[in-house]
Amino acid sequence: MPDVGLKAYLMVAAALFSLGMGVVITRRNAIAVLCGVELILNGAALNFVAFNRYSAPAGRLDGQIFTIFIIILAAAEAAIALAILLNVFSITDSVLIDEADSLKE
Amino acid sequence: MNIDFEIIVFYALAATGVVSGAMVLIARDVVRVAFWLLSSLSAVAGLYLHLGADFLGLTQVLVYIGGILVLILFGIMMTQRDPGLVKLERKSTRSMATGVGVSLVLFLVLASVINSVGWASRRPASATPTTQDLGTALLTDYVLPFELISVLLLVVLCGAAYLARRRVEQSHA
Amino acid sequence: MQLTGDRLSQIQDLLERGMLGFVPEIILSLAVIALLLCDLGRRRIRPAVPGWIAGLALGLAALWIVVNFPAGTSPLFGWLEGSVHKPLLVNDPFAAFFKLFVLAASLVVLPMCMQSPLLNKRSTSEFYALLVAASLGMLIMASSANLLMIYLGIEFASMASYLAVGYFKQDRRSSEAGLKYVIYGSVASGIMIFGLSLVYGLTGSLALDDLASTVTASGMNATALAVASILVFAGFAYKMAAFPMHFWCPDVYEGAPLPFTAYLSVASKAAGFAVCIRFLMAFGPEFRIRFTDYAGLPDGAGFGWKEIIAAASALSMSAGNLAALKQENIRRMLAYSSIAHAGYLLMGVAVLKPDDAGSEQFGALLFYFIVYFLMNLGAFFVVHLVTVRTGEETIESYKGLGRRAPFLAVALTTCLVSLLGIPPTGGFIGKLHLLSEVVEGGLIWLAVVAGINTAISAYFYFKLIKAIHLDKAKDESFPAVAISNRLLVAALVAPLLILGIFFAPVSEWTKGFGL
Repeated sequence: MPDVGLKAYLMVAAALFSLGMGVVITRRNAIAVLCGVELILNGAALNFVAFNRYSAPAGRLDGQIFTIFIIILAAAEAAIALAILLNVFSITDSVLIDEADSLKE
Repeated sequence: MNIDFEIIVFYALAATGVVSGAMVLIARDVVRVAFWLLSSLSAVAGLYLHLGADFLGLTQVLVYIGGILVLILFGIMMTQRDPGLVKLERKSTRSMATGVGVSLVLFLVLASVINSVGWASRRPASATPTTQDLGTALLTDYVLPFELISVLLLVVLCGAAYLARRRVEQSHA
Repeated sequence: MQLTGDRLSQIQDLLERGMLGFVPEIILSLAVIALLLCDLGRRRIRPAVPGWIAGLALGLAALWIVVNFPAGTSPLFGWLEGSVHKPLLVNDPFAAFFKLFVLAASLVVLPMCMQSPLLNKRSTSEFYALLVAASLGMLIMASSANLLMIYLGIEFASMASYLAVGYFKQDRRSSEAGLKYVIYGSVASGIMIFGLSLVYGLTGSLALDDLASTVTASGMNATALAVASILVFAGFAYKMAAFPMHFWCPDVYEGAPLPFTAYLSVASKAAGFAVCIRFLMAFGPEFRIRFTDYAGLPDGAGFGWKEIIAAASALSMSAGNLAALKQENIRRMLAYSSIAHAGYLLMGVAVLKPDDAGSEQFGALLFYFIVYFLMNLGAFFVVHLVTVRTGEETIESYKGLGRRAPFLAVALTTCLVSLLGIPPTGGFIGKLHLLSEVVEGGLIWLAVVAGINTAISAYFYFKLIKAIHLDKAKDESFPAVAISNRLLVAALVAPLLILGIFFAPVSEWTKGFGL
């Protein structure tokens, strides 16, 4: 049975990672940056699952386990980021991360 | 016929994921960004299913789309007063070009690296349900991280709840 | 996969053997849960109680490690593949050193927390829970032998730290620092995970042990593995506050609760180094990126992780010291100084050699860690005592400290002189050891860069010392410092002077903790 192959998946993952990095570098809104982080994480997770299917020893699910942990920790991270963001917002009325500059003075 | 169908599905999912990812980079409005992210994450969930990771595909839908994205949308709603949402949140279009450029360069580098490797690829076994094996692995080989992450989630839960708790203490005091 | 009785008993065996080496982590987990629960009762507990609970747990954990100090390497948990045990964690002298380091740092920071006026109000038990949880994450970082555990340990430590940095939720600086820390932190960990996923793909395993065999087995994938490990290094560098992921450091150090800043600058950095060193050691010294795959380059051309780390080291110290020159806030100055010290420490990492041959290099590096612990925590402790009393953080406010509080002034001066690295302090001996190892390791240019950097850093350290001793203060009064605080400061500063003279036993002792 022909198959799309490992490399095709890796390319998709690399594209997601690169796009996420682009978002992270250019966005100023903290929520949008967080969206970029999710893209990066999904790129990595897709890599893990693809490798698990194509190149890990048969019968082991290490890559999938890792992906489960990525998903859980991403949720926790998003919760923390939004909790802190809401505090910042209630103080400064802004969610732009480079306007969070009372520290620079 | 069956074979072709699988490949078509892959390319459809891949294209959806990447194009939506690109829209996350390009879209102006944060709400649109969140919805493009939704579409991209759904495509990734589809790719998981395509890879035979049924449990992960569903977890992705439940946790990522049902949890994280809803959280992000809540975040957007609760910061609606912010003028940054209305006005252009970028300084100029130049920085969008920077973003696209960075992404392209990075992708080309990664793609050439990925291409240069002779990946040890074995023929994938036919997809079987993974839930039972994942459960077994989580409670045997990986019981330690499984327990640790439960402590971590407890800490994050309490910590985030503490941070998000609004000035109740003051009104009592 | 069916669980047969045989396999079950194997797993049981692994768990039982693992449990003994895991007691400190269990103690800390229980303490975290206890701290989270103790505020739920109906009766308000006294504000000091959570601090004592945390101290008890951290002390017990440290005591356990001292009593059961590992003689050799023993794997904890993990799975059996054939007859090979692939551990999730390892218990070895290297891990034990860094675990004790982290626990000691949190024990020093505890009294600072308990005195801090902002942390001394009601419902502070969450803060102590976060401190203990961060320590727990760092213990896991120090001993992880598996990519998943590296990731989990780093995230554990990071998430507790994010929450602790943003803990003063009505304070603008603290919240903004927390936001920056969590956003950039998740970017850094995202980059790291992408790197880890490539490493997993190249080796087909999450176990660090399998890295080395893959590297030696397939030369052609060296470039890919190098790219992957550079991505992974980005995550480690974030924890170490080293170039190129150092930019968060000044803002976070300035905005975070001061005791937690002190904690981050010592414990978090050390845990980052521990996990980075273990990861790099898994590659072995021969790991090089070869460009022979590409046309037109001579055979064997390329570089290895030694050169990458050396570059990161040189850039960290230069970036840190140059930016520190114009700082007016003492916390920001110490933040840049800590970036520079990440550079000095990376210098020691660049020349590390695996196996027994490396004990000299490990000795120099770990000796510098001990010195760094004393001088940085000492400096932060004095800054904490001054800030609590004057409410000021500018260098301006340190004018005339020599007359207002002679004891604190002398202690701070000793720490600064040691951070600069001149005799008769431990900082001088530590830097000398490091530099001689670097020169011996063939990185003479790096030693020169470090020398130039030390000269640059003299400017801002002496600017502060001058303010303390020569400048006149507007207000000569200074509230008295309790004897217990004086003793604590002395306990940090006195060893610094002793290590400046009688260093031989300690530097001999630190050689025993290599990988």
